[in-house]
Amino acid sequence: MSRTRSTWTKVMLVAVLALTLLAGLACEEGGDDAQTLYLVDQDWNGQLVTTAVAQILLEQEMGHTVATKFAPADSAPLFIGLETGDFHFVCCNWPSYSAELLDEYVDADGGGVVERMGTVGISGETGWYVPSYVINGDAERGIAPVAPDLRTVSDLNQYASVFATSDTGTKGRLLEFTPAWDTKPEERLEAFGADFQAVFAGSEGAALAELDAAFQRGDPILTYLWEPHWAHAKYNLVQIEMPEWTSDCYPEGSSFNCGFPTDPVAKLIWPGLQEEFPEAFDFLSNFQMTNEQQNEIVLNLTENDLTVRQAAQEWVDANGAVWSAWIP
Amino acid sequence: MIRMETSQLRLFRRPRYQWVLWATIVAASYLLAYSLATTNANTDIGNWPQSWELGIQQPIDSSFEWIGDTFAWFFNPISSVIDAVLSGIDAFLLWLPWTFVVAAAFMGGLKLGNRWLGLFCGFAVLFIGLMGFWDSAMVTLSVLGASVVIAVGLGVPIGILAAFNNRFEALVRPILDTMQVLPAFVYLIPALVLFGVSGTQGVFLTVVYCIPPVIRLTNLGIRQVPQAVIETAHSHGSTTFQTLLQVQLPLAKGSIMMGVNQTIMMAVAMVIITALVGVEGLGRDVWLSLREVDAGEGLQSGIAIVLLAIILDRYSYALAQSRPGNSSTGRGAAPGGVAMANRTVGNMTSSYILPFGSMLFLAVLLVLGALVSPLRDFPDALVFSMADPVNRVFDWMAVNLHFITSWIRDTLFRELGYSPIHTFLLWLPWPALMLIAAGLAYLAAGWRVALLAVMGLLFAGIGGVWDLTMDTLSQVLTAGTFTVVVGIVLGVIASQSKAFETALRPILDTMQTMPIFVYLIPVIMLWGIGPLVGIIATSVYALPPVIRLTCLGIRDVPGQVIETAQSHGSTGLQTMIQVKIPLALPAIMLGVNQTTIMVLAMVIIAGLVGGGGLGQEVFINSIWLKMGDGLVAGMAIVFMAMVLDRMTQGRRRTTAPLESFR
Repeated sequence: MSRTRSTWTKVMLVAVLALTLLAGLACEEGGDDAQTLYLVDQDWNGQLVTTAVAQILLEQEMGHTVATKFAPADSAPLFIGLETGDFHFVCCNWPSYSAELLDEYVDADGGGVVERMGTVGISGETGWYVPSYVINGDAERGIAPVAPDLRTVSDLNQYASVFATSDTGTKGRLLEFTPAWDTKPEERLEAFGADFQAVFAGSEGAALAELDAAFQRGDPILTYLWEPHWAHAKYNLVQIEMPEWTSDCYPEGSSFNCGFPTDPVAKLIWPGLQEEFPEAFDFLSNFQMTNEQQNEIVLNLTENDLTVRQAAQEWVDANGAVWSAWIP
Repeated sequence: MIRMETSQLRLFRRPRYQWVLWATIVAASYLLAYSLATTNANTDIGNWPQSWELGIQQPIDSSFEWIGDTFAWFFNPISSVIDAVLSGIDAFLLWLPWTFVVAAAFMGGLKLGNRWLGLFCGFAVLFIGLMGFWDSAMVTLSVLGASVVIAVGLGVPIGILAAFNNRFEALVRPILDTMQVLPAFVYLIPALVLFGVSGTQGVFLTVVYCIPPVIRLTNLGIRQVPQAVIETAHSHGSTTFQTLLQVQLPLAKGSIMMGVNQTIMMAVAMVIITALVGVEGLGRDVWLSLREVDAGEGLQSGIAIVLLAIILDRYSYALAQSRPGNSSTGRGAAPGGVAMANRTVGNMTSSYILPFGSMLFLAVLLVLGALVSPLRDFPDALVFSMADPVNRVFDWMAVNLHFITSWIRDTLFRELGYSPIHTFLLWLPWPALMLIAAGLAYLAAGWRVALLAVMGLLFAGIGGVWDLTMDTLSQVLTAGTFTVVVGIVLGVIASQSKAFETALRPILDTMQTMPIFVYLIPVIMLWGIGPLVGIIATSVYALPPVIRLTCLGIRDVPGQVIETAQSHGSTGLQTMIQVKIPLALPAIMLGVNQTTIMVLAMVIIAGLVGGGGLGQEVFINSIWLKMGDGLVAGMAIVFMAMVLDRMTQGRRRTTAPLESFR
C-alpha cells in the first residue's frame, strides 16, 4: 500500500513539474521578443507619465511591442544601457544633473555612443527655496513669519541666524542634495556675500526627508530644489530671487554671482534606434510634452489616486488633437 | 628611590594595575580631545603632506576599461544566458496562480517544520500580496533564486578546493574578507561595464556579496569530518573522489546548509542595492518611496522584504537541521561512519516529497488558477495600504519628539563623542597617529595586524583620502563605542530579566533583517542630516549582536562559579562585575567583533545621509563613473575593517578550530 502511494506521489510530482515548466516556457515565448522597444522608467512621476504616454501611443496607435526598464535618474546605468542597446529611449534627461556623463557618452570628441534627440519640451528650473510660512507665516498652524522681508539672495544675510543649525553654528544653513551634482553652492554663497554654509544631505531622499521634517515642525529651512518637482505641491515653496543667468555665468562663463541656467530637458536614444525601429524613431522625434501638460497628468494621478498608466491613458483619450500630429 | 620606581613598574605589570593604566591613558587622551574640540584647535598640523599623494586612480580606470574592451567576448554571452534564465524564472513565477504559491508556501512550511511554520509562511506570502507587492516579490524572488543557485554552485566547489588545499585556502580568505566589506558601489561600475544594464548585473552584485559564507562553511564542514571516518572509507577501498562524494560531503551537509542559509540572508540584504542597476522588484519599491519621502510605503515594502527573508531563512534553516546525523559539527555522525553517510544520501531525495493528497491539491489549484482569473492574478480589490497612518505617526514623532532627539544628537553624540574624537584625529600629526594605531594593533592582535594598520594608513595617505579616512574613522569609533557600551548594558539587563529579553528579541530580529534604507527616512525626520545621523543610524543597526552575545555569555556562566562567589559574600553587583562579566568576556568580544563589522558596513549608508567621509566618496564616484577613485576609497574602508576586525578578534584566530586538524 505504502509502496503504491509513494509511486503515485512521484508520478504526481513529475506531472506537476512538467506542467509548470511547460507553462513557464509558454509564457517566456510570448514575453521576450527581438522586436520589443525598451523605454526607460526613472524615479519621478513627471518622467513616468511622459514615458507612459509615449508607450501607450506606440502600442495602441502604431502596434509596437513596448516594455519599460528601470534606471535611476541620470545615472551611469542609464548611459551604459543606452550605449549597449539594453535601453532604447529615455524621455527626460536634465543636462545639468549629468554634465560629466553627457560629456563622456553624448558629446565626446569624435562622436558619442549615445545620441541626443532634441528637447522634449519640458524646461527645468533650479533655484533656492524656502517654505512660504518662513516669509508669510501661517496663522492656521500658528507659525510666525521669521523672515518677512526675504525676497532676494541679498536679503539672506540679515536672516542668517534664523536658518542656523547645530551643524553650522552662527551661519545659516543651505540644504544641498548631493555633491555628485555640480551645483556650486559654496561659490554662489561667496559671490552673494551670504553668511551661509552649504550642507550636503548626501542623497535626494535624505534631503527631501529633512525638508519634510522641517515642514512638519514649521522650522525655517533654505533648500536647493528644482521645478517641476512634486515637493512644490506638498510644501508651498517660494523661490529666492537670484541675479539672472547670463552667458558670463558658470558653467559657460566664470561668474558665480548669478542664478542657475534653465535646463532644456532632452530625449536620449540608443544610436541604433533609427535603423531598427524607423517608425518609432520618427514618432519619438515628434513627441513633445510641456511643463503644463506633464503637471496636469501628475495632478490627476495624485488627486484621483490613479496608476501612472491610467492617468496617461486618460490624457491620451482626451488629447487626440495634440498627439495625432506626432504619428508619422 | 630607584627601588621604589621599579616596584611601581612591577605593579603596573599586574593585570589589575594594567587596567588602571589603560583607563588613565584613555581618559587623558579623551580630556585632551575634548579640550581641543571645545577650543577649536588648529588641526592643520595633522595633515598628510599633499605632495605625497600619488595618482593611483588613473591607472585603475584605464585598466578596467581595457579589461572591459578586451574580454567583452567572454562576458557578453554569460550576460545573455543569465538574462534569458532570469526572464524565464520571472515569467514562470508571475504565471503561477497566487493561490498555488500561498498553498505551496504553507505546505512547504508544514513539511519542513511544523504546522505553525506552515501557517506563518502561508500567511506571510498572502500578506505580501495584500500589501500590493505580489509582482515585485516574484521578481525579487527570481533574482534571489538565480543568485543563490549560482553562489552555491560556485561556492561549494571552491569551498571543497579550499578544504583540500591549505595554500588555496590562505589565498581565498583575504579575498572573501574583502568581498564582504568592500561597498557594492565600488564594483557596481566595473560590473556595469562588463555585464551591461540587465538582471545579470543585479545577480553579479548579489553573488559577489553573498558567496563568502557558503565557501567558508563548506571548507569548515569538510575539514571537520573526523579523520577516523575518512580512514575507514579508504580502508574499504574508496578513492579520494568517492570518499568526498559519499562520506565527506554528506557528513558536511549540515555545515554546508548553514552556509547556504547565511548566503540566502546576505543575498536578501542586496535587494535594495540591485535596484540601483535597474533590477525591478521590492528593492525598487523601497527606493521609489525614499525619493518621495513616503516612509509608510517604504516600511511596507521593507516588511515585504523581511517576510520574504524570514520564509527563506526558516526553510533553509529547517533543511540544514533536518538530518539528525549531520549536525553542523559533524561529530555526532562519527560512530555511524560510512554506512550512515550512505543511508543519508538515499533518504535525502524521497523525504522532501509532499504527501499524495497535498500534491493533488496543489495540482488542482494550478489548473483552477490557469482557468479562473481571480485565482491566478492577485486581485487588486484585496490590496490595502497602511502607509498613511504610519506616515502620520512619523510626522507626529518628527514634531513632538524633536526636543529629545536633538538633545541626543547635539549633546550626547556631537559634544561628547564625535567632535572630540574627530578633532583629535585631525589634530594628531600623521606619523604620531600611525604610531599609535600600530601600537594598539600590536597590543591587541600582534605585529601582523600592526603592519596591516600602518599599511592601511599609508594607503589612505598615498591614495589621497587621508582626511576622508579620518572623518570615517571618527564616525566609526563614536558609533562603535556607543554601540558597545549600550549593547553590553542592555545585554546584562536582558541576561537578568527573562521578560526584558523576550520583549527585546523580536525588536532585535527586525532591526537585523529590515533593510537599512527603510528606516533612513524616519531617522532623518527625527535627527536631521549630517554625520551625527549616520552615527545614530549605525548604532541602531549594529546593536543586536553585542546585546545577544553579552546576554548569552552571562547566561552560560556555570552556576557553581556564581554560587561560590556568593558564598564568599559577593553582592549581586559584585558577582556581575567581578565574576560573570569577566567569564563572559569571550562571548562579549565576539559580539563586539560582529558589531564592528556591521558598523563598517554602514559607512556607505552614512554617506547617503550627509555623513560625508569615505562612504560619500564611494557613492559619488559610482555616479561619476570614476572607478579608480571609488576603489581607492573603498579599499580604505576595507583596510579599516580588516584592522578593526583583527583587533577585536584578538589573538583568537591563531587557535581557530581549523588549525587543530592539520
